[in-house]
Amino acid sequence: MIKKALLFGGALVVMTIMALVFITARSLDKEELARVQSEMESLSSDKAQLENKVSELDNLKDKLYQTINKKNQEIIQHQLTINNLEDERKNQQVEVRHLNTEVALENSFSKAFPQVIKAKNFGITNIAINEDKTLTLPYYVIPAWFTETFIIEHNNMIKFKEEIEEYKKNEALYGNVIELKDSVLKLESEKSQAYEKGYDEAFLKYQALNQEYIALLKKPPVVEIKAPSLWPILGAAFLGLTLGAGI
Amino acid sequence: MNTQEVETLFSQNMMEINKMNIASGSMIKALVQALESNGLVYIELSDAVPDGHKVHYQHKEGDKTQLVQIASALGLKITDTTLEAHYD
Repeated sequence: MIKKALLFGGALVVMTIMALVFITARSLDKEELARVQSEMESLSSDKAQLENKVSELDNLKDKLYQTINKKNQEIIQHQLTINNLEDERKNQQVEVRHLNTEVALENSFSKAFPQVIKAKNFGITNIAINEDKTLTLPYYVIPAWFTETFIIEHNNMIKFKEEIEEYKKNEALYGNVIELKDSVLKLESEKSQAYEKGYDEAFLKYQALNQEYIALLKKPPVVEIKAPSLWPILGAAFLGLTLGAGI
Repeated sequence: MNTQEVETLFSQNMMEINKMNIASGSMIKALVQALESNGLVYIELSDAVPDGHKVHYQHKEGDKTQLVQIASALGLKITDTTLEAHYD
C-alpha cells in the first residue's frame, strides 16, 4: 500500500514539473516575441525618420548649390567687366598717344583738368631753344602748384596698382581655399555615402535575422521523442526492480 | 615723305611710344612733334623697352642737327641709334 502511494506520488510530481516547464516556456516565448517585434518596429521607425532628415538635408544642399551657381555667375560677370575696363583703359591711352595737334592736346587736357583752363596765361606757348631763336618747343603754361595734381595722381596710380596686386593675390588664395573646401566636402560626402551603405546593409541583415528569429519564436523546432534504446531500458528496469525490491 | 607716309610713320611711332613708361614716352613724343613742327624732320622709332625709358631710332628725313638740338633741349640722352629720357 505504501509502495503504491509512493509510486503514484512520484509520478504526480514528475508530471506537475513537466507541465510547469511547458507553461513557463510558452509564456517566455511570447514575451521574447513581443520584445523582438517591438524592437523591429522601433528601429524601422528610426530608419524612416533618419531617411526623412537626410532627404531634408539633400533639399537644403540643392538650394545651396543653386546659390553657389548664382554667385559663380556673378563672379564671371564681374571678371568680364574688369576685362572690359582694362580694354577701355588701354584704348584711352592709345587715343591720347595718337593726338597729333596742339589744339587736340589742349582739348584733351581741358577735358581731364577743367579746373585749370580759366587760369590766366593757361595754354601752350612756344619758347626758343637756341640762340638764333630758329628752333622752338611748345610748353604748357599752368599754375606751378597745379603740378601737385600730377604728382598726387601719379603716386595714387602706383599705390592703386600695388593694391590691385594684393587683391589679385587674395583672389588666388580665395580660389585655393574654395578648392580645398570642395575637396573636404567631397571627402565628407564619400564618407557619408560609405556610412549610408554600411547602415543600409546592416539594417537589411538585421531585418532578415530578426524575421528569422520571429519565425523561430512563432514556430519553435519540433523535439522528437523517441523510444530509448534497449540497453538503457533494461538497465533502468533492473535498477527499478532492485530499488522496488529494496523498498 | 608724302602725307600718307608721314601719317603711317606717326602711327608706328606712337605704338612704340605707347609701350614705354608713360612720362618717358611723353618726352619722346615731345621730341617727335617738335622735330616735325620746327623743320619737318622725321625719325622712325623701334624696339622701345616695355615700360622703360629708352627707344631706338633711325633718321628718316630732314636736318639731322635739329634732332640733337631739340633732344638736348628736352633733356634727352641721344646716341646715333637711341634716345633715352632722364628718369632718376
